Amino acid sequence: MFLLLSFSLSVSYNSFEYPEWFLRMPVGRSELFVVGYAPLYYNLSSSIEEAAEVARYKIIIAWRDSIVGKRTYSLSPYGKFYHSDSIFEIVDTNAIKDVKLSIIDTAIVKNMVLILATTGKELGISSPIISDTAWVRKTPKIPGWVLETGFAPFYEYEQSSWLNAEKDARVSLGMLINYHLEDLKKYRETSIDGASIESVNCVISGVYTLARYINRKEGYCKVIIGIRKK
Amino acid sequence: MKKVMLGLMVLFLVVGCASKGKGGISAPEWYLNPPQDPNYLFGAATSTSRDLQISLDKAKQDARLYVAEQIESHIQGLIKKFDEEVGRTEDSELLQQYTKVSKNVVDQTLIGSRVNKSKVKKEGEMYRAFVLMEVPLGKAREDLLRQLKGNDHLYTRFRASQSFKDLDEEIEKLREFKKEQGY
Repeated sequence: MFLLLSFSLSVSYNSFEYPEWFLRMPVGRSELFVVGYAPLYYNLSSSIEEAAEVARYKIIIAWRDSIVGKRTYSLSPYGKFYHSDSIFEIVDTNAIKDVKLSIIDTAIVKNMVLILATTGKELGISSPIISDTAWVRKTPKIPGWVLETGFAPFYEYEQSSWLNAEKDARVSLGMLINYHLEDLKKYRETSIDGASIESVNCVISGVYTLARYINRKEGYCKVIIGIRKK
Repeated sequence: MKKVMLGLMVLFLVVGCASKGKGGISAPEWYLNPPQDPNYLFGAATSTSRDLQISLDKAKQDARLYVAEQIESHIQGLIKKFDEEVGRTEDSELLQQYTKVSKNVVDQTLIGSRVNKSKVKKEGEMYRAFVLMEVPLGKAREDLLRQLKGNDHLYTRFRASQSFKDLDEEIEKLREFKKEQGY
């Protein structure tokens, strides 16, 4: 009985209300699949239009994304403190007008409208490459892919959480490729202090979002993304 | 019977310490005992913050720092050895060595550092993040670099085709203009 109750609780905390294609994204051979988000407006068509615009922007990010910036921390006898984050993404926004999207499916989750869109001509959905949630605990190693994950806490609008988790994953992928660390620690007789700067400067392209996970109990969203081996 | 009871008590104590970790924090096993692999360097770290993202960023940065220090300490070891050799005849050199040890500077570029495992949990109003970072060495590093090389093809193909399309359009416009002007 207890086991049954535990199972039903874990299911309810997980993301049953999201469509399958949102949690386990289809992956095409050359075409990209993206999810566009928008708040649920009075006219559904306005929401879909806005979600399609977000999807177009995500396509150009997936094509090519320069990740540049720094994070700074300081160390004191009271612990480590986060100072600033100036990591940002540079994308070719001119390309947005050239993006041709086909909307495959639409879903309404809470007050959010989701669309699944593709750059491909075929409207069929390709199979996902991640089929379970084991990646949440341990980042998998899939031959032919370089994978990274991103986190975000719950925000007032759930689409903000997903967008931030996706950005965090891209920044992590950028740090995987080229990460620089400058750190100074001064050890005194009774204390320690210091400063750290971590920086990233790289271009990622051909980025696929592979799966998403939501944990309502702990209050976070997690995303796994990857780039394909050439 | 007493021996069995005593044995069980010791076992519970050991298991309890392993799962609770330092300071009574329930820590994952991979944080307490990071894995060993000749092809990877591992760094495990934990950090807290009221903000989930910051707790993770701090833990990731700490874990990368541990890995960078593992690489850097090799160089520092060499400097220390050199100082020791010189210090055998001159005490002033030996003193200099102690000055160096009191500062630790890391200036390191890491290629291929990625989160192997992570865990986030709430502790009251705070988030605690655990991160296990891995950095490939040797063949694993070479494989990763090969995978990353030239992943620009999707974008390049798109922009190239778009550029050629634009070029065709502009050439066509120019030809029309020339025709109108009677060239």
